[in-house]
Amino acid sequence: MLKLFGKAISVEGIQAHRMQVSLTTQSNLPVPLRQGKAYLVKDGTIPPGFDHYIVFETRLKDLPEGAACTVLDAEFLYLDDQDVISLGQDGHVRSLFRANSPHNSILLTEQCNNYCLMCSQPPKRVDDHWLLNEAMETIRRIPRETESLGITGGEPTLFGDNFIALLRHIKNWLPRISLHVLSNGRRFADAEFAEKYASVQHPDLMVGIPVYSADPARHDYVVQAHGAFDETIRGILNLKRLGQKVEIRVVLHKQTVSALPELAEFIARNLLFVDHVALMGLEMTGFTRANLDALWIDPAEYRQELSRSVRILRAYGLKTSVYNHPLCLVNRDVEPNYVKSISDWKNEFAQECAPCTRKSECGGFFSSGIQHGYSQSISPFQ
Amino acid sequence: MSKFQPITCYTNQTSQYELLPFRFEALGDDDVVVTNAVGEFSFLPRPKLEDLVAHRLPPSDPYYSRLRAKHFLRESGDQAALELLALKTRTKYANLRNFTNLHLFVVTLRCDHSCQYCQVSRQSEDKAAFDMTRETAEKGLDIVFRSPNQAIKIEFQGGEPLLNFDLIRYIVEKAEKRNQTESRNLQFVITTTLALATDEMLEFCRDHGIFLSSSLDGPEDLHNKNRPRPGRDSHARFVAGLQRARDIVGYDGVSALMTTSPSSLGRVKDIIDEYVKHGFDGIFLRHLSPYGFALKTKSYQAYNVERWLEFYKEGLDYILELNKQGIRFTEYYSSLLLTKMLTANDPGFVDLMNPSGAGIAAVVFNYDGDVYASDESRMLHEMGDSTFRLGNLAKNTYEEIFTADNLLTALEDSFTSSVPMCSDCAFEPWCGADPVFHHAMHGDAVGRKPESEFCKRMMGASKYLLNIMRTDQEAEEIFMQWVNRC
Amino acid sequence: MTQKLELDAAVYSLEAVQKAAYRFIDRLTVLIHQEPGKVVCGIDPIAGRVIAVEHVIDDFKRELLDQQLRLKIKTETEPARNLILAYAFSRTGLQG
Ligand code: SF4
Ligand code: SF4
Repeated sequence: MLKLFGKAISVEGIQAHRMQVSLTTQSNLPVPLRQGKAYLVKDGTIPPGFDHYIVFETRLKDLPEGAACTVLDAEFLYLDDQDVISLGQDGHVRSLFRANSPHNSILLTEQCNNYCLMCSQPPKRVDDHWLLNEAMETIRRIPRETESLGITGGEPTLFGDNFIALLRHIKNWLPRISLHVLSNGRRFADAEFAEKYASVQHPDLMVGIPVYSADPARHDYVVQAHGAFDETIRGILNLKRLGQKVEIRVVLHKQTVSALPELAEFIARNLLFVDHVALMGLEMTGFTRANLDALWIDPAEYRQELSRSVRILRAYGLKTSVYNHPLCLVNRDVEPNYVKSISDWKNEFAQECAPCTRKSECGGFFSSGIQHGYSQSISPFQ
Repeated sequence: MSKFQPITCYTNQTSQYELLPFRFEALGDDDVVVTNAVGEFSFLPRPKLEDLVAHRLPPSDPYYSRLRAKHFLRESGDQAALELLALKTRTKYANLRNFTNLHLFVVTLRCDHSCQYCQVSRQSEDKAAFDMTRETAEKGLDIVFRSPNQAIKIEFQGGEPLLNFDLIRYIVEKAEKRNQTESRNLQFVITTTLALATDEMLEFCRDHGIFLSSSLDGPEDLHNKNRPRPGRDSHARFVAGLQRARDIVGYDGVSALMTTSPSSLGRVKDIIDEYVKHGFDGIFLRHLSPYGFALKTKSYQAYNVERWLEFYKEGLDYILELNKQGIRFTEYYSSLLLTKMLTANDPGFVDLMNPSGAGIAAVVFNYDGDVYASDESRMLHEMGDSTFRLGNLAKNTYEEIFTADNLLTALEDSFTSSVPMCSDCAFEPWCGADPVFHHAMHGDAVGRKPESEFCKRMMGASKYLLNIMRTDQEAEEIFMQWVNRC
Repeated sequence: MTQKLELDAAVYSLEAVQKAAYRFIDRLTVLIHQEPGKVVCGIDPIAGRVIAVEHVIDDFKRELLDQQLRLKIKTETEPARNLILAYAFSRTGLQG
């Protein structure tokens, strides 16, 4: 697992409380482009003219006069050309964008109006507008040829008009990017808000919205919010009415798997017009660990329900993907919909996987799973 | 102390709920099926139904969750349920409205076959008496292009339409020419035994995208018995014709329809095997239509609906067996019903596999210029009942013809909403307007459903399908594939 | 031989009785009349159609209950039905 945030060994020359820097490893970068960039010292060469130098483990002696320097520990060595990081005066370092990863997403807020049992990013009740402002700035720094970007939370739509403004901003700065927003969809039940969202007319924007059960009470329970199901479904309807792309995301755990086929039928009968359905394995992080008894079920135990659900969705022609599952724990008939999906920075394999002949096709595990518990039913392919 | 609430906090605290519109029908002594207007259904033990209606079904009951999820009941905040029901209602109607408008041209009544159950054909050389003229065809085309629908299907029927292929050629070319400015989605179909298909005709079909709907009644002996022609070679000619049609027009350019004669009844597996053998991916286990010669020759009465249902069930079971062995093969009668049971779509009455579709979405131009609302009304006319003749191309204007149609529409309305028994029948959402016309055919505008063969067939088949879905998940998934194919 | 079935009008509405009778039109002839507080059916099996008369009459009784239930559902859900139809045809846009 990559360390995406931590503390620098030392920072200097940071004027603001925190600031973003774009990194480069190009020692021959034309001088006019050097301003505002931090040079990542990986091979010892130190070209002049950068405002800021990032070095690892120990401060270098012969830095250019007046240049600022941040010393990071070796765990940040993965940082590379065109990445964007945030540096705080207090030494906090956060990786905001990694140019060579296909899995970049921007955390827009930690606030949420749901309180999901398995939330991986437990909501906080704080005003975190600064994250939104930071995102605006990050967007300007992201390489223009970037192919995809995610927006996550918390619940990004809680920023209302500012969230819409961010989307416009992204469309202006990164017009060719494929954008994916994670939202609980409730805000879109407000038709006016949905219209504003649609009016951005982003050419490649999809919103991923979780639906956990066909039974409203169960969905509300999973997200710990009364009336959430109703708003979410109406949100989806509003978005599709406006021709927006919607993905339905279902996290599979003890509370959602037994009625999964009914949910698949519900989607097939009522929401046939959605663009994608993602059935996702549980990540052992955030609230999940607090609610482990209520949530944990070995994927081996729900493979029949998963198979039937996938077959139903497939029969109705719904584009369906199964994410975050070890390959040996799904039935063979699921494989056409099986996707290796876990973001690179938190993807690992178990010891048991060593002899497996299909490891390269397998999505493996979340690092958190390896750390905090995973299926005991793994059986390497021979 | 956990900051998380248990599920009981999110189930209905007051136990109050509102029923959403639904109907029910008993399935055996202990259970009922409930259905709603958009075709959704659920099974319930009878006492649960009584609890439900008496508002005493507790929110903790698994049936409660299921009924709420399927929109049979709602709690006070459930706005989405209403929206989804409305949406599906509109989808259903919209699909009906946009349905392809079918125009049947009976280009000749002459035929080389003399099938015992055939309603209308003539064994005659007299072209003048039984062929449609170019003049009549032109007038028919005028009406075709006045159709408001974007999608238009022109189907050539007979007799054996290939006996008047010159006229087919003429109509197709004229229609294509007109379509250069009209830009409709134009499709052509010829209903033919293929016995007389020449390479030249097939090449014309290929070049003009004409689809061929042919006939196959079963294995050679059965087929030839049903479809006598000089030389007793109907089956052999079909097989040869099919091969050539696939070679020239293309594999998907030709389909086959089956007619269930009394001799078919004991042989459903043979018939299905014959379809599989010839590479078809489905069959329509049709009942014999009660019109024309079929009625006169008593072959219609040669089996009743119970007997047909037996035939159908045996056939369906066998087809499901085949599917479970990995052979993708559809039974189309079931598929029509299942589409309404399992999706918000309505397949309508007119279907490629049912070219003579008993529906109001069709207009028939008879060889002599008479216009009918459906193929069945034409057959009824052949039997001497002209109630549903809408007019004649030579004598009536478009307006006159379609004011007559209004009469039929009114008839339809009176049926679906207020026919006794249908109006509270749980199967009505799957049954639709089809019986309307059927009963009109019987000359009984109201149609007494308990005595109706149509109704018995519909109920029998629906109950059978429901039972399969209830007890056999694999079969249910196969059904889901059928209704989403196409 | 005509069988008489007296039904409590507080439990069975005339409409429900009529509908039940209609459903049995192929098996039973049911003549219905009203008396104070009662709906009365005179039932005759249709000659040649009915073998086990008692059985059919039991079914008929069950049908009476079902019809009463159907009426109740219909009355209660009428407003929702109208609401759904109004919804369905008042807005445009999405079609699944
Ligand atoms: S054993 Fe193989 S299939 Fe199973 S989790 Fe490990 S790598 Fe994946
Ligand atoms: S015809 Fe029969 S099955 Fe169809 S709606 Fe009427 S009563 Fe029901």
